[in-house]
Formats: sequence, structure tokens, C-alpha cells
Amino acid sequence: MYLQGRIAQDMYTRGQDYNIPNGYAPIPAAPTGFINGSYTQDVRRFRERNYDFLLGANRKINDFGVDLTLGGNQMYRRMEYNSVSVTDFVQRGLYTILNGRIKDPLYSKTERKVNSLYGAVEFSYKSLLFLNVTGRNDWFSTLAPANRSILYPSVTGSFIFSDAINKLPNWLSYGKLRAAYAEVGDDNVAPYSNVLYYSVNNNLFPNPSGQLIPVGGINASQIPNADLRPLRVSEAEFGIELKLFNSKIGLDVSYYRKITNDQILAAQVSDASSFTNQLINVGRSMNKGLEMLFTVSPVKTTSFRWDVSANVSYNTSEVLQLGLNPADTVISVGGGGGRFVKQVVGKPIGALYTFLYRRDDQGRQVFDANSGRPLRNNFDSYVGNVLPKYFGGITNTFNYKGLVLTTLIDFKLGAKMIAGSNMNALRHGLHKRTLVGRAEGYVIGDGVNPDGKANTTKSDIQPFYETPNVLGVNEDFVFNSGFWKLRQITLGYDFTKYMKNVKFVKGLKLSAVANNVLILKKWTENMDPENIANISDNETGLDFWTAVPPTRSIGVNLNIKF
Amino acid sequence: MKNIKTYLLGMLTVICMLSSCDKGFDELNVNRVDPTTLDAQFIMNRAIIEATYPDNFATLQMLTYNFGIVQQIITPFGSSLSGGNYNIFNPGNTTPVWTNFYRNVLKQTVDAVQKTKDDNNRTNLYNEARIWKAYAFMILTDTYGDIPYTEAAQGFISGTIQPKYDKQELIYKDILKELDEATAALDASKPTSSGDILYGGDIIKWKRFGNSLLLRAAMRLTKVAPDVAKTYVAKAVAGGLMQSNSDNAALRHTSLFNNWIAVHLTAREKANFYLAQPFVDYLKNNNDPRLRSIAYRHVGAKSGAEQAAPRTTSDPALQIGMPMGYDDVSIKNTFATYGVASLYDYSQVNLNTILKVTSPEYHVTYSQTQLLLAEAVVRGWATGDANQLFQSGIRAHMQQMAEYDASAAISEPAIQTYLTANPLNMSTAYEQINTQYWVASFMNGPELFANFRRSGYPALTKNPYPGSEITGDFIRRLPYPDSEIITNSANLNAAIAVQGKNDLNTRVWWDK
Repeated sequence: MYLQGRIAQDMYTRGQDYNIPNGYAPIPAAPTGFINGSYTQDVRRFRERNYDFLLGANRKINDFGVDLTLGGNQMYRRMEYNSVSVTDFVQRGLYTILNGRIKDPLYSKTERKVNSLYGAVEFSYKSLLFLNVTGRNDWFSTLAPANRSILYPSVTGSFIFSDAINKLPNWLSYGKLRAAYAEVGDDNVAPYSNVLYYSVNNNLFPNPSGQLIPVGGINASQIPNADLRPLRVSEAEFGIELKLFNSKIGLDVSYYRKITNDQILAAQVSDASSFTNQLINVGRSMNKGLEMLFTVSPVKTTSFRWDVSANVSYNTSEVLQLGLNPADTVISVGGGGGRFVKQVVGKPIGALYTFLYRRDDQGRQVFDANSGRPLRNNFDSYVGNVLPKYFGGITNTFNYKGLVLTTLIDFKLGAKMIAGSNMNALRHGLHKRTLVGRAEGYVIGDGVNPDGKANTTKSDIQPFYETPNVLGVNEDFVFNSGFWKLRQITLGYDFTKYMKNVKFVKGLKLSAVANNVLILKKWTENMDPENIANISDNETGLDFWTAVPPTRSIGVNLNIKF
Repeated sequence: MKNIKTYLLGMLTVICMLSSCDKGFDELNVNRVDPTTLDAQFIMNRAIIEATYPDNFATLQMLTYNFGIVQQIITPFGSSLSGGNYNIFNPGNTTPVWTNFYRNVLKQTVDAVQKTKDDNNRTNLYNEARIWKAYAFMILTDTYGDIPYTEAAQGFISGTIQPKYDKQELIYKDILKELDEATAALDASKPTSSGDILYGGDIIKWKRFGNSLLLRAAMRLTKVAPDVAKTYVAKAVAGGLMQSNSDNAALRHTSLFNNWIAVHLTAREKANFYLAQPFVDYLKNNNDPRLRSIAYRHVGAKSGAEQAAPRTTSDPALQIGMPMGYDDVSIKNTFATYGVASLYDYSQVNLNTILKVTSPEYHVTYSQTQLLLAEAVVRGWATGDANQLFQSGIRAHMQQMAEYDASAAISEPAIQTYLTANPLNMSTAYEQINTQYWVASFMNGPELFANFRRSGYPALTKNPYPGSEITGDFIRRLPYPDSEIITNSANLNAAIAVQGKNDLNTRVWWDK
């Protein structure tokens, strides 16, 4: 029996400063006597404290063992943000907040706490059969008092049948079955999402007689929700782990099915409500899939060894229910420029939508009779899913007398994206497609006019290629976002064995590493599918502005242990 | 045994500390930095400021559609700047009226109404907020036609996130009723506040503004409901209209709260927007002294960088408006005809007068009000001397120039010369009055677009751009934003079924 108590603190303070330099053209000139530009100085202060205790006891009676633990945890997290931005300067080239003309201070502070109590019991029999039962209760400070407590259990069992059954064939070196059911609760919401807050403008506005008057108002574009519940994930998993032929081949396969209830999302609402989003617990979604790890050592001699390890995941999902009533079947979570990610009942999580070109019943593209430019549908359409169905990696390791060569190939497959960087190229006449009509100075779109007659209208070339972006028609650039990449090659040698006589050195290893070596296969035009500027979850699959491209790096790694 | 007891006791204490007995757990989720309410006057002030687009890109709505449709300011450039210049649908630029007025102006205004409606000491503020609310909805419905009205701006108050659309006819009737009631209910003997940024709490001025706005709303219905228009014109006149430029409803921008059209045109879009030929020619051909105040040109400029001081001139004789109907490629064909070195050589709005970053933006002016009243007199809906009102309206706008900048001021003799040369001729009264209204509303996008559609004047010729998407001669309405397709499609489709196609051609109710 034991009791353990811990207090842990994690903290950081991060200061940043940045400017828009004097004379930058896209910002307006400063008033007479000042120099334009801006400068921001900010500081983030973060602190997380965890208090926990654990009470444990174990007992062994013959072949049976019982291990009992009870515990509790309190997590307290605080983030403070201070910043001052200034616009226009008195003195040229002096980027300080004191030198600024307009000063805009900002301060925010958020706090959250999660209190938890948990217990676990593990029963074991002869180190062959294990059963693990847990229960946990969390209280979230961010949620409504009536809803903020959630109790969730888990049960896990495993059975090492290779040890239990004697008459197994020789080639089976190890075998284990496992099954688990677990629930997890969480509050995926920012503090203070329950109340509408106001703000006072930094600067005063003069009334007609010059008296300076405060200005303020509602500060939120999100409708608060005082009744949010914690989300609850229920997951069932079955798995088998095998080692075959003297552990030359290893296989670990598991199947899981996960239901997420009451996910908290900021659903886009009509602007006519005066808000852009509403926080809601959005029904139910399901994920299921297979995860597999396969290892094999095809060659194993005293001087040479080749190991292969491959992991593959397959995942599908479905949105089962949304919103507060059955009629809510679609919510939009992110997007713009005709590119949207939505959650749609009956479709996988992360449905990609965009506007399509208008086509007639025979599938011919329709062009405006007068302008000659393409027309679009009055509604947006589903064009795929943004989350990959398959992903994984294959590692090959070759070891010849201590000289080790490792390669990693990884992949993601089965998802769509809008490779919108191409849209930028198209509208600026930089895309290969804009060569059509360049010699003539006009384009005659291949299709029909709204009256069904063949389109013969010459469109000026520039507006023709600007039209898809203006109308938000992204269908030309919906691509499979999958890829196969040779992610890494490492060649290394361990010199430790030659260092036995060198004092202080316990180990020395030298290796050469190359990262992002090669794209073996991709489907996106003119871009790496991973080269995207949007990193928000709600904008997965939506690309538009060009991001800084990923770089290939080659380096040498010297690892010395003393 | 004793050990176990100690453990249990210790555990209970910890459990208690962690769960329900955790003092401060409830208070932790309270934001200590931001207030949960504010004085309604300050909220109203924000609503007033936000009615002039406190944002770079939102001003593109006015720049690319309103000013282009009425042929005052035009850009030859396409893509994100396309709109009225090519007569095409560009959802990026048809949307900002909707987003700004619903999300910003109405959010604050409706909150100010809500906070004051039951407060007997703030009836004046309450009625001011009602007037501002009616004004905001007027701009929305004039732009889009049928819009969410009765259920709109209620996202927080009633939780309505998918408001239904109301017919413009119903909306206008309610706007007229609201303006009439709220203006009449303003009472100078009741408490008022100098914290009001529009009029400093001057209730007389607020009343004149309310009635002048009522006159505007009433006159909007001349084509479709003349009887209703006539009734409310009479009420507005009886209630008392603006008396001078000091009654103008304007946001007098400061060096801290900038005029964002000016910000955009002095910075990112500096070399992209030009005064349109029909506007420059009208002012030039009539020797209008306002041309010198409004325009400048950088003679011989061959690039944006060359649009600089030694070339700059405001000499009216040298102003050349950019012809309608060209893009940045085809515009080359006009250089020889008009004697310009490049597209950068055409006249622009003067960034040292009308469009300084501190230049005021006008919502309703004495000048506009006098001109509308002149038209009402011509129609026989009000009494007075139409010519005198017409000239008073022109004079007021010419005098207004001095409010932009001392260098834009127009002298009394110059005004007199112009007025003498341009009396109101009863046979062309509607055209003359509304063409002057077009000049007097320069830089007021929504009003320019609305009055041009209502009156049919000035007599502009169709923008001849070869790639136009519209079926008639002019854009009659802006389409609803794409976001409504995503978030409010059932109500949107119901509205489209009633009003007609969601495009640039469908006329709004008062424009039939």
C-alpha cells in the first residue's frame, strides 16, 4: 500500500515584437509630421499547475493478483496576454511603442480548471490474463454548473494465449488477444464561452463640440452558450498481437469503433443574426477503422540484417446527428472564397464543398451569352472528404556490420483538397491553363449558352481566367490530397566499439540524415499537398494563399555520450 | 486500522477539495477583464462609427459597385476589384453591406434599443437608436431587396440564427412608421447626453435628421407607392427638416478613427481607382466649381509611382475622366483619343481634400434634403419654391466642400455664377434635381445607387464593357451573400421564390 502526492508546475513567458517598416507601400501615409509604419510588442504568460494524489494497494493470492489505485487531480491553467501596438512614428527608424502616434493596448486573461477523481482495479491471473477496470469523474470550470460533471468508465482485458495453451505450433512464438471499452470526457471550449462580453474602444471619439467620448459595444461574433455539456467519446477496440517464426515476423492488428457525442463546435450562422457563429453541442459522429503494424526481418545473418516495419491505418467516419433537432443536417465550420468544410449527417466528418460550373442536362458547360465567361450553380456542391482514409509508413533498416541505413516512406491516401494555390496562379495568368487563348487574346468557352445554343462568344482572356476565383468555383482544383513520400534516409555508424580506450567517452555515433527527400507520388497540380497555409482544423483541405514550401534538409549528426 | 482511517480521512479531504467543495470553482469561469454590459450611449456611438465601414476591404463594396454603377469612380482592374466596372457578379464585393450592417451596426444598435426601451430617463437615446436602426435596415433593403427584418439581429436576444426574409414592401412600411414615431417621440425637455457623437445630444438636430431621413425614405417610394410617399413627405416636412449644413448627419473622422475609403485609396488601391468620364464631363461641361475641389490628375504619369507631386494638378480644364467600359488591357486603346500617357494619367479623387484619412463621411445632408424637397414640391406634395430649394441644395453642397479641406472651399461669387447659369427648368426638373443629387451624394455609396435607380437620373448611358453579365442597362440590385446559401438556405430560397432571381438584374420592390 502506498500514497503519493505531487505538485507540478509548467510555465513559460514569451515576448515577441514585430513591425511593419517605415515606407511600406500598402499601408497609408502617416499624417504630416509622422512616419508611417507600425510596431507591436507583446508578452504571453502561461502557467499550468497540477496537484494530484494516488493511493495504491496490491495483493497476490496464489496465481491471482489485484492492483488497486485511487487518485485525484486538479489542473489549473492560466494564460495572460499583454500587447501594445502603435501606428505611425515620430522618429524615423525607431521601432518602440513610446515613439508611436496611435497606441492600442490589449490585455486578456483566461483561466480554467479541471478537477478529477479516478480509480482503477487490475486483476491478473498468472501473468496470462489481465482485466483492468477504471472509473473517472471530471469537473470542468468552463461548462455550466449543471452540466460540468462527467463520469466515465473503461474496461480492458488481455489474454496471452501463447503462454496459456501448450499445444500451439512451433512457428507461433507469441500471441495476445485484447479487448477494451473506454469512455472519455472533455471540454473542447475556451473559458468564458457562456456569457456575452463587451469592450471599450482604445480611443475616444470627439462629439461635435470636441469633447472626447467613449465608444464601446458587444465584443463577440460568437453567440455564447451557457448550457454546454462535456463531450463524451465511447470507444470499443479489439486487437491481436502475434509474433511468428522465432519473432522474425510480428503482427499487431486492432479494430476500433468510436462514437463521439456532444462535440462542441462553433457552427456558422446567418450574418443576419448579427453573429457569425454559435457554440453548440453537435450531436453524434462515428469513427471506425483498422490499425496494423507489421514487422518482418527477411534477412538475418551475423553480418547483415534487414528489418521492415510497416504501419497502416484505415479510418472511416460518419456524422450521425447534428444540432438540437433532427432537422439540422448540415453545419458549416469553416471556409470562404467558395471553399467550405461542413459537417453533414450521413457523410464522413469534414465534407468538402465548393461551387461548380453550371452545366446543362447533357453535361455541357454553360457560358454567359454576352460575356462568354463561365456561369456557376446557385448552390454549392459536395466534392469529397478532407480527412484521409489511409495513412501510414514503411521503414526499412539495413544493418551491415554496424553500418545502418534506414529509409522511411510515408503516405496519406483517400482524401480530397482544394489546391487553391492554383487558383491564384490562374487568376494572375501564371497557370499553364491560361495559355489557351493567349495568342488570340480571347477565349471561346467550350460549351453552350443558357439558351442551349453552342457558345460562340469571345471572352476577353483576363476576365475569363479571373472568373472562377471571383465566383468561388474551385472545381478545377479539387484534387486527391494523397501522397507517397520518401520522408527520410539515415546512414549511420556506431563507433563506440573503437572508443573503449578513450576516457570519458561512453559512446560515439555518426550519421547522415536527409529529410523530405522525394515526393514519390502526388495528385495535386503544381504543389505539394502538404504545402498549405491553413493549419486550422476547420480549414483542413482548403488551400488558397501560397505557404512557405517545406524544405529538404540534409545534415550530419554526431552523437557523443560522456 | 489506524493507518487506513488516516488514509480515508486524508482522501475525503482531498475529494472535498477537488469537487463540489472547491470554493472559487464557479467564479473561475468569469472573465475579469471584459465587462458584461456597457452604457447604451457608448454602444450607440460604436454603431454610428461602424456605419462608415471601419475596414479596408469592406469599402470595396462602395468602390467597385455603388460608385461604378453611378459612373463616378471606376477601376479598369478585374479579379478582386471587378463589379460595376464590368457589370459582373463578384461575391467578394457584393457582400460587405450585408456583413457590416448586420454584424456590426445592427448588433450594436439593436442592443442599444434593447437596453433603453424600458428606461424612462433614456427615451431620447431609445428613439435615436430606433432612427439609426431604421437607417441601417434601409441601406440593407435598398441594396438587396427582401431581407431578414423582423427576425434579424436577434442571435443573442432570442437565439434566432436563421431569420426569415421579409418583403421589402413590409419593411419599408415599418421603416416609415418607425422613423415617424421615433422622431416625433424625441423630446428636448427630456434627459439627453453630450456623450452622443453624432449631435452631442442636441435633440433639435436629431429631430431634423429623423425627419430628413423620413423624407428620404418616403421619396424612395415615388415609383411604387406615391400615395404612401406623399403622406410621409407631409409628415416629414411638418416635423421639421434640416436647416443648414450644421444639421448634417456626418461622421467627422479623426486621425484615430479614419475614413477607410481614404485609407484604402491612399494605400493599397492608390493607383487603381479613377474618376469616371461621365462625372468629370458633367462637372466640366457645366463649369462646376466642385470639380476643382474633388479631382486631381497627375499629368503624364506612366505608372502608379509617377502619380506624384510635380505632376499633380486640380485645374478643371486639365481633368480627364476615365471612359467607361474598359479593362486594364483594353484601356490602352483610349490613350490616344483622350491624350493621356497611360491609365495612371486619368483624373482621380483628390486625396488632399475629399479623401484625406480624416475627411468626413456624410449619411444625410441638408443639401440632399433640400433637393428631395424640391422634387416633392415639383410633384405637388409640398409647398415652396422648387427653384429656390434646388439652388439652396446646390449651394449647401458647394459650401460643404470647405468641411473637407480649406483648399476645397468654394467662394460665394463662384457659387453665385454657377447658380445663375443653372436655374431649375420645370420641364427638366426631375432630371436636373436628381442629377444635382448625384453630385451632392458623391462618396455616399448606398444613397447614390438607390436614388439613381429610383429617379432614373442622371441620364447615364449603359456601361459598354463587352463582357457584361447583366440583361438590362444597369445593375438593379446586389445578390445575397454566399454565406446565406450555407447557413440559411431554406429562408433564402423562399425569398428568392418571392422576389425573383438572385442576380444583378432583379429589381427591388420600390424599383418596379
